[in-house]
Amino acid sequence: MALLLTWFVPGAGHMYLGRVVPGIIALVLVEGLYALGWFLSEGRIFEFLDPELRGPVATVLTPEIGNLGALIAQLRIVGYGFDVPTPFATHTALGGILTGLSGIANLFVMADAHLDARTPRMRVPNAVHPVRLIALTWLVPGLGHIAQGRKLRGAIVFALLVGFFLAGTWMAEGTNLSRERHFYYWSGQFLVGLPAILSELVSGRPPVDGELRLGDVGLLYACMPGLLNILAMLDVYGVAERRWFGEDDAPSADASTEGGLA
Amino acid sequence: MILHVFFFLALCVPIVVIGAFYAEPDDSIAFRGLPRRYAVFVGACGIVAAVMLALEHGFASV
Repeated sequence: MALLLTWFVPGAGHMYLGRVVPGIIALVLVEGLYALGWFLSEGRIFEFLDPELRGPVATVLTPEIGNLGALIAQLRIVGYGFDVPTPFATHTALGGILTGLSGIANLFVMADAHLDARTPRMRVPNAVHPVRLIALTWLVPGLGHIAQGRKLRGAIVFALLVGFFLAGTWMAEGTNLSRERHFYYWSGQFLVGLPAILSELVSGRPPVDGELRLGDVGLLYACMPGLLNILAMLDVYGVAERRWFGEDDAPSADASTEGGLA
Repeated sequence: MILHVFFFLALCVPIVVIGAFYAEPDDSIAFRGLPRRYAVFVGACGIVAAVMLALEHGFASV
């Protein structure tokens, strides 16, 4: 129930569980991000979708789906924009990053509400908070594993996912970084976290100015690590949750690292 | 063709490794199973590709 409430209204799950202050903070932060993104993009981010792809469930595969209430509000209020094409605002793409961030942030708030509902009130777990670890994994693939004390695994995850993302971006000559050009692939690579966001902001979304011999392969290489990062987050969460509930009898040798983060 | 096979085989590496990590929390067990997982994944993809090509040549030729 807490998880579902949070999906529609960030922080509502925490309030339902009696944690009013964290609920209000989550509401302000998550909806504030979405509102700022909406303001910068003038609510037109879904106009990036090709007209033939637009429909009631076309936005399901976007990061904004994490903040379902705001997504539904946006679709009901502005939908896919006007019938007549008009120029986009200067910061439309930046606004899209912020609304996407809002969706991702609310996924973590949902996970926190779900975990909070299952954690006994009087118990103080001696482990890193699982939601903090999956947030780290989203931010930089492999970082959650390293914070968990699984350094070799974290280094491999980082090398593979960030390496393939950068290789794909190089092959596509940075053209993969535009949400306007590759709406759904962009959603996939957004799950790589900071490397994808920074690459997009630094590159300025370069235009296609010639034939891209490896453009399609690059697009696939850049998107796939984002999808695989979901598996990496689930891997981190599974172990973190067992430790959180004291079910993991054999914590890693680097448990001291965890203690420092807890 | 060879280049695309190479790209496919390379992309199989993170898919198989992250899949193995997800399925097996213990590093040593996950590493031990990697060659078999890689072979199964590539083999299964090869079968799917072969079936698709056969269907294309059999039913979708124009």
